[in-house]
Amino acid sequence: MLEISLHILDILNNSITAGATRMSIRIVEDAATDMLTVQVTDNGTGMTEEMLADVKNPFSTTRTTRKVGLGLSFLEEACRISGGHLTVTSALGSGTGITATFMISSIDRVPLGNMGETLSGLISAYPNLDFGCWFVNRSGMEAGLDTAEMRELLVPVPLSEPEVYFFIRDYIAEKQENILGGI
Amino acid sequence: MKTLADLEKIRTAAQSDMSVRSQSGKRIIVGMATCGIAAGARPVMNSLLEELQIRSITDVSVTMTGCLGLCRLEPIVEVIDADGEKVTYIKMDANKAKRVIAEHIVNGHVCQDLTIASADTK
Repeated sequence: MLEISLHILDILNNSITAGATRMSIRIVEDAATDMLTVQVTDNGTGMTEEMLADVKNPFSTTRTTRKVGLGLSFLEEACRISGGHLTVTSALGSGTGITATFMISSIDRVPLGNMGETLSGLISAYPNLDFGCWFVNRSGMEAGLDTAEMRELLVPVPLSEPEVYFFIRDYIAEKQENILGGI
Repeated sequence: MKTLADLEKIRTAAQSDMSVRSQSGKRIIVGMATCGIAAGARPVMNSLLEELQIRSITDVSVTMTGCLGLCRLEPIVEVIDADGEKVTYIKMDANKAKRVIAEHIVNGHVCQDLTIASADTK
């Protein structure tokens, strides 16, 4: 994948497959450790201990069309080559959390990419699910978006409204640029 | 700079609009599993949504699905007409997505050269 935001899109699709109704993304820059941390948490079904132990194995998958699943393996590789790592925590009934770290200055780190495009497409496709996305920079400045809050402001207009798509795409891109521009 | 207050304007405009809308029953489905995303499904998804909006088409839904088992032909887009007739487009990109909206959705002509049926699948 050419952008971290594409990995995030992939991971969020896993959450949706696991029945999540709420997903939160936190992308945090830490200048002291030179690390970018991407945290994705969901309230999906979660995984059993056996499944969690094997989840990063490319030959472990829930898909039925074939016996390989490369999503998390790709993400782990993207973390690893840039000097970071991937941690997955999960328990049946209490959702799944993913923490992916990347060394910001590593030449092998792919850019964060366009979170506006990632989330606007997802929210249009799944207007009844809730997504929160927050950017935090080295000075502790924080900005983001929560669809639960947007939904209240828009009642009775659904989040699938085309104009809302453009709003989300540009709003998130602006926040990302303001807080984490250049990463 | 966009603010959440902009949503108020969107809400007011959309509310008066929504009452006169009909549903065509047409659906577009984009394969958005790891294989699709890696092959470029995200710009296809965004291009479809944007082209529909530019043409003020509000009666076609665009959704995502997982892996269809044809990873080497991704990005894959399925267009399902009101009568359930399905056309599968393969190896899509943002420009081909615009063509599908213009030719298939608006004018009702299938883009034959982009379909899985026209592909050399060997």
